[in-house]
Amino acid sequence: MKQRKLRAALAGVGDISMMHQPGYVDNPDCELYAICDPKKELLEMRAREWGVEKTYLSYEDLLADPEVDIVEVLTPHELHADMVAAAARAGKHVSVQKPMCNTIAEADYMIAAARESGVMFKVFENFVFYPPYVKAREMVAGGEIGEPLSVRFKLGTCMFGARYYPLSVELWHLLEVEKGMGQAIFDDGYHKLSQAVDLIGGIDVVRGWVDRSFAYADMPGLLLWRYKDSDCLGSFDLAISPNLYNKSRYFSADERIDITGTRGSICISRCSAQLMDTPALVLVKDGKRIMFDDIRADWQDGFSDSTRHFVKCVKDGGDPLLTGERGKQIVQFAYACILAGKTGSEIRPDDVDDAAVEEMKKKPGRKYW
Amino acid sequence: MREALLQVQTEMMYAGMIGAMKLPDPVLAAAISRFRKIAVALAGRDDEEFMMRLAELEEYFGDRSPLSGALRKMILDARPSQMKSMIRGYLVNYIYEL
Repeated sequence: MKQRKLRAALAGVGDISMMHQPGYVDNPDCELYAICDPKKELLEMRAREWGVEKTYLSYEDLLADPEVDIVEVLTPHELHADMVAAAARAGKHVSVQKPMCNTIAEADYMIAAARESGVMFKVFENFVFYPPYVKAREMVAGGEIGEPLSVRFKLGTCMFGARYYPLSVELWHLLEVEKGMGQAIFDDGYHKLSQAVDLIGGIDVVRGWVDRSFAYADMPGLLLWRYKDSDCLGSFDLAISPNLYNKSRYFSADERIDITGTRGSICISRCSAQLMDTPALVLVKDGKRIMFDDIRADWQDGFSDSTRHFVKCVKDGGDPLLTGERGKQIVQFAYACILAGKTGSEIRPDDVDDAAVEEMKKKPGRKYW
Repeated sequence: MREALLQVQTEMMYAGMIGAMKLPDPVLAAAISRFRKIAVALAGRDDEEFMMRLAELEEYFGDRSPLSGALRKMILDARPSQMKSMIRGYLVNYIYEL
């Protein structure tokens, strides 16, 4: 007997949901079966756009629908813990948009709820599925550049050139800084920190400097770290250019990763925008420069591949890669970066707990201007 | 000469923005509403995003949304050089398309 397709539901159909929906288009294993949001007009608009028949204004009603196999939670961070736990207890496999939560206790709560319910739990992140990065990771693992010596992440936020986003999206992100998180490191930076761990492994210790721009944005900054089980060093530099135009279908960010090894070097670029006229992936080794001109490099590809990977894991079993435990590890790493930037001290991500975060929030932070 | 004119315009817009941020929410909402009505009459097909932005601003200042406070703080607390750089970017990229 032919097995029916899995049925997924999106809980929250705000801006980011538009990046998640394409992962279900022509997906042989799963269909977007239902969407849920308390904003009726928005919900109906998305249902029309995507051709989804089942709509729910109430999350409880969505979870009561026995036809739903997978729930993607795409709501503000502070709502994640209860929504993920409720979905898990309703027997749904859950994917939650990064960052998974604001506190370490919430991370533990979600991980425990998923484990006790026997469902698969993923903290959704798209950059580790960005095809040029996936290829680069394969090359590093295959020894193409020898032993990795350093990995450098760059985020250059440009003020102009992005597609239209409501100002409320930006203001909401920026307000997070006042709660101790922040758009650049805790939210957008999560992608880079996720790649940093995915590529080399767990982080031993972090140092850094973080400034403020436009009163809220936690940039420019420079973060440095050592890995636990590798001699490789990592760094992440963040800057905001208030007068730089960078045309993009998504965010106008200049994002690059340089991986330097004992006998070669890899440069990954583009991601959400393209500032430089270079291929998305370049490998230099043995005196040769190899350009990967034909690799898929649309930012959307990472979202769709991430969704499809999770669906495959639910269908066939397997490691969702971005597990709850990994999500918690990245949240600790992000807080370690913020703590290091604020205090000027060396911070071990493994030592970051909610008490340390609360203490950090009371500190005014350093200013360099 | 062009750079000097851009600089003068930037300074004037910055001063206007800082001054406007000292007005109460209902006054700002009413002013934006009136400006939007004029803009609607003049807008071309390429001005859709600008009109959406005006509608947002009218909403934020009109319904005592906490976002009006965030917007004020962002403008008033930001380094003047950063705000002016952003205004210059707006003029160069969207008004004059230099």
